[in-house]
Order: sequence, then C-alpha cells, then structure tokens
Amino acid sequence: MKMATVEINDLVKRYRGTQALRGVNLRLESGCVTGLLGENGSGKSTLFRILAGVTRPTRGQVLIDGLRIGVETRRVTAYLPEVDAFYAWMSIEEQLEFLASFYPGWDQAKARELTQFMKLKGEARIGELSKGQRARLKFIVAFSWPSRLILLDEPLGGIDPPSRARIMRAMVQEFRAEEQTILISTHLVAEIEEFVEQVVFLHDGEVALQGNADTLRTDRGKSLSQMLEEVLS
Amino acid sequence: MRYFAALYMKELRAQRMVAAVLLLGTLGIAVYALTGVGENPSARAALIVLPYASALGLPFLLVHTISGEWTAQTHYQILALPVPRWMVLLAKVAVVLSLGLVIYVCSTVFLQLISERMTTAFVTNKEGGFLSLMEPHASASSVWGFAGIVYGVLLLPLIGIACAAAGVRVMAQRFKGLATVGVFVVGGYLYAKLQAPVVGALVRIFGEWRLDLAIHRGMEPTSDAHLLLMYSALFAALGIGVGALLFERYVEA
Repeated sequence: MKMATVEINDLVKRYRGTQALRGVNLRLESGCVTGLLGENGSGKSTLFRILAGVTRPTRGQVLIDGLRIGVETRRVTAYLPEVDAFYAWMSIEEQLEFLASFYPGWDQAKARELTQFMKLKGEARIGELSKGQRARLKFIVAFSWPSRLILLDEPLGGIDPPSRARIMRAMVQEFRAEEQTILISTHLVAEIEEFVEQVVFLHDGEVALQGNADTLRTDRGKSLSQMLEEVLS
Repeated sequence: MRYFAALYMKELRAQRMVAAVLLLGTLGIAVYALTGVGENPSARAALIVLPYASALGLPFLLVHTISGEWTAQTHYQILALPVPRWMVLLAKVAVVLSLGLVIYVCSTVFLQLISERMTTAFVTNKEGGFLSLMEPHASASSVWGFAGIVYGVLLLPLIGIACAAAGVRVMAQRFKGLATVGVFVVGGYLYAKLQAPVVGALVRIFGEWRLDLAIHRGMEPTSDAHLLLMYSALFAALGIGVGALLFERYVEA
C-alpha cells in the first residue's frame, strides 16, 4: 500500500443550522488522482476548504503528510476553489508572480509553458478574461509548482467541452510532478473518468462509497457516472 | 519578511487608485491653500487643514480593504497562502499607515510653507486682522510636531479600533455589521475613558516634557501632547493586537 498524503478521521463540519460533513473518514494515497463525486451540497467544497486550511473543522482530525492543517500544510497544498479567487485588477503574470513569492519551488518557466499551453497571454488582465480562460488559469496556478497535494474543486466549469479532456490529460500526464496527489471534484464525471485512480462518493456529508476506480468498475460493472447516479438514488 | 513584503506590495498596488486620488487631492488642496497666502493672506489658507481630515477616513479604507477580499472572493486565495493570518491583516494596516504618513508629509510641507509665508506677512503687516493672533515665529519643528501629534492622535486610535472591529467581525457568527459598529462605539468610549489615567501614568514614567508647540499667541506651551500621541500609539497597538489575534484564531472562508 502506498504512503498516505491525506488522512481524515471522523471529520465533522457544522455551519449555523446545517451539518456539511458528518464524520468523514478518508485516506488519499500519495501520488494518486482521486475523484470526489457527489451532488450539490454533499460537502465536497467544504472538504476541500478544510484540506486547504481556509475553513476549520468542527471536529475530527485531518493530516497532510502527517501534519495537522496549518501554515506548513498550506505550504505543500495547491488549492483552486470553485469560485474565481483571482485578483481581477492583476494581469496573469502579476498574479503568478504574487503566488510565486509564497510557494517553494515555484517554476516560472513551467508557468510560462502552461500559459502558452492554455493559450493565454501573460499580460492579459484577469478581470477581462472569460470564465473559461479563468478556469484555465486555475490549472496554471495548480501545476506551476511541485505541491504535494493539488485540490481542484470543479476546475472544468466554463472550459469548452472539446478542450476538457485535452487539458486534463496534459495536466495529469505531462505537467504533474512526481508523487503529486490530486483530489478533483466535478459534475462532469465522464470528463475525468479515465484519469481517476481512486474515487470517493460523498452523499449528504458522508462517504457513501470509496475505493479503487478500476476495482469498483469491475465489481459493479458500471461506469463512475452510473455509480454516482446509484449513490444519489 | 519576504512574505510580508509580497503582501504589502500587493495591497499597495490594490489601493493605488485610492492612493492616487488622496495624494492628488492633498496636493491640490495644499497648492490652493498656499496660493491664498499673499501680502494680505485670505482665509483660504486655512484649507490646508483639510488633508489632515483623511485621518478620519483611512480607518474605513482599512475596513474596506478587508471586507473587499470577501466581496471579491479573493479571501480563498489569501487564506490559502502559507502565512499566518495576522500577517495578512498587518500588511493591510501597514499600507493604510503608509498612506497616512505620505499624506501627513505632503500636507505638512505645505503647512510649513504657509506658516513661513504668514509669518513674513505678519512681520510686514502687523495690522493684518486675524494674523495678529498668530505666533510670528513658529519653528519648523513646532509645525511638524504639532501637525504630527494632531494627525497621529486622530488616526492611530481609529486604526486600532478598525483592526479590533475586523477581528470581531470574523469572530461574530451573525450581526457582523452591528458588531463592527459596536466595536467602534466601545473603542471610542474606552479611548476617552482611559486617556486621563494612562496619560497620567505616562507623565509619571517619562516626566514633564514641555514641548514648545505654541502656534497661537497667548497659548501655553503644550506639556503632554506628545504623551497623548504615545497613548494613542499604545491604544492602536492594543487594537491591532486584538484584531490580529482574533483574525488568526477565527478567520475562515
């Protein structure tokens, strides 16, 4: 068994009036691409935020490379939320330079290569980018440095359908550094089906099903999309 | 320090339009006021005090820059950075204080010029109306000291209160607006209430230090104005400390 990058034990997150996560237990193996699937409100984004260290859990333990969530884990985690969290007044280059100041091993040459691959111009102002272009920028930010954990929350939204698979393939197969663990959530399950090695289905704040993607497909004779429908029903 | 510098530069660039407007406004008012001082100076020279009123607005700029991260959803990015959260807050405070310092320097350069020209006018025109109330030989150090004390006493406590309000705001689960207003009211009350005993204690510690800041004829040299500034700085430090502590402990997306 591979070493775990992420270990989550009995994770609970309560917001005022709602319980977003109800005792989640999870283990993400180092270097694996894991798909986090579930309907709206199932707790996916909350789980991402807790792993990224921007939201605190109500209860439970979360470890990244054996460390509790804090400054040290944020130093090895690339988090791209579902919303546009970029500064609209910055150009792409300025945004990348700003982030480069904080993350060890940030590779400007790789960032430029990725910018070119994504067909973006470094001098373009972020506020003037389309939704799809901003989604592409998220990938540039996520893969320009050798983080241990990449958290991609709905990264494909806004990207035109023909480009989705091409971008995902390039990121996972070409631009991913060795042993980088990726956790990705999306409603577009078919688009990531071929890339995910592990899969976790969240339903109503709980892990409904998890395991090796190939094993689950073989055992159940269903695609991940079909399994998601089954979980939701 | 590298991280702080990056946050500071980011914030400075984010506020460049506000900074430009404030600085151009300050310079415009200052030049207009300066041109009002001739052989017969007009009351228009008094407009030079207007830029100092920025001390009342800058704390709200601080509140705005913090809440702006949430409005633009950039708080996801800033909170995910591998830095302590208090550093994010302090970088914003540092930018607002820098802006205040630049406004103070620009305004006071012109205030000193106006003071010198009015002194000259006073000497050459002793019958000159309200000029007879002016101290004819206010030194440069008096002008800079007096302006600095007035500006600091206005700006620093409000910055401290604004920081504490930012901390309370992230701690409050509901009624965030009300909590912010409440902190400003309570902070103002505490500042006024603690002033006499703390300044008194500072006098006991540092002793009397009579600053010759007489601007108007007949006014006694101010004795504890600098200690009032010191009290304001301590109050600001307390507010910033409380804000930073609460921000570090409670802020989340």
